[in-house]
Amino acid sequence: MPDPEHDRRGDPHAVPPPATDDLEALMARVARGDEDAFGSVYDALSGAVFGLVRRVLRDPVRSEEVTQEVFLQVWQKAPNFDAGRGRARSWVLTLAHRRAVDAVRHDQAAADRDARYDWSGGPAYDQVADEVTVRLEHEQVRRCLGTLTDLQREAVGLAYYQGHTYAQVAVMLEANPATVKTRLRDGLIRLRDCLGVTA
Amino acid sequence: MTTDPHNLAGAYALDALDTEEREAYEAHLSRCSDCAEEVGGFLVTAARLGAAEEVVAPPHLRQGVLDAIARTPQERPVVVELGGRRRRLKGWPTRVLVAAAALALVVGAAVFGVSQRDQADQIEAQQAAITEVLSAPDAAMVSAPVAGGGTVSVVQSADLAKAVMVVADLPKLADGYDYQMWTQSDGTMHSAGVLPRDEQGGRGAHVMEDVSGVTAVAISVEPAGGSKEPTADPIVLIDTA
Repeated sequence: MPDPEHDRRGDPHAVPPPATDDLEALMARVARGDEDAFGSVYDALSGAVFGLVRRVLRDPVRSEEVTQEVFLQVWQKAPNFDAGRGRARSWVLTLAHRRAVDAVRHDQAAADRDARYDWSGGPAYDQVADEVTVRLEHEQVRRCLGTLTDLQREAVGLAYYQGHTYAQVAVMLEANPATVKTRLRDGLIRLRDCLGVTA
Repeated sequence: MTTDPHNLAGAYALDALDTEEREAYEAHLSRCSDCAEEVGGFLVTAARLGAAEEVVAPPHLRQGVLDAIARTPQERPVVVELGGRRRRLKGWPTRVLVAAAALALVVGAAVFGVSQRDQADQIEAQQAAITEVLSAPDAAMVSAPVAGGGTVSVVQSADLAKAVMVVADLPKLADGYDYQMWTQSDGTMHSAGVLPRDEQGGRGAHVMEDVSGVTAVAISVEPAGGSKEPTADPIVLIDTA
């Protein structure tokens, strides 16, 4: 089998994420049961899905399982996805995050993982820096996370990258749950604006 | 405790709600377009955080995924399918109620046009079964208001010997009580399960198998967890024969 990374999109270190239009067109074909188009969607998004899932789950083997489940969901749900809205990438990553979080919450080893995780330094970027294929995106996200207050950034990180509920985050940060809810929302508003997301 | 649901938009988009809160919030989202718009922007934002974690996926994963999808059927496009079939449904406000049923299936549609719920396999299967019944050529619908508020509809296919019960906006019950669904055959009520508590005040759709001998379906309010046979008069009873 040819290496899909090179076969489908050339050098992965040189190429930014595929143009949104391409992905929407592919998703529209996937919605009609086109397996070749699905292969291209997989090639475009598998790195991001696997990277996100592994960031949350940390266990590479479990992350592979969950990544497979995510793409199976993408395939199953594609006929009901509205490809015209230009959000295929976000949709797939939303599915991936939801699945990863559900998996980590069911993970028997969750307590161990939390106990040895050192949160003091913020998100563990260095852990993935060598493998990251979208350095610009990475840098932009890091810069925008840097614009948050400490409490916003810690709350967003504990929730998004580790799969904690806001109630758990409140305990970990010794904060009021209502305050954490507000900080998560304020933090996302700031990130949204910094990243230039238009709703 | 009352909370402003707007404040949950961030926690929802970061998947920082527990399952119960998540489902309650999704029910809220389907009714609040402002919330859906804000959550849409937040989900795209969160996805950017996720995309920044991109690595090279293990190459051997690809073939496994392609093999898996090759033997996995896709969901049918729920709303479109129903739109094309609705003339075949008997009864009056079917269009509205079938739309409600479809909505229950695609919670999260307000954001991405597709279900966001991370369903377990059996729920996926149930959804396929619901779609099967709703789009059956002989599907017929009967609906009735519920004493106390809300609506219950039953879509039935004689060919498939299956029915789907759709509940909408049943009042929330006090702790210690559940709604329980029943099918009546040979003059006896048989439990068809307890309505999940998160569907109280919201919407839900439930498949009923082997309904060929069933003459009516009903819902009663029972002690939490349900009863072996009804202990109270039904709040709604729909003849399906």
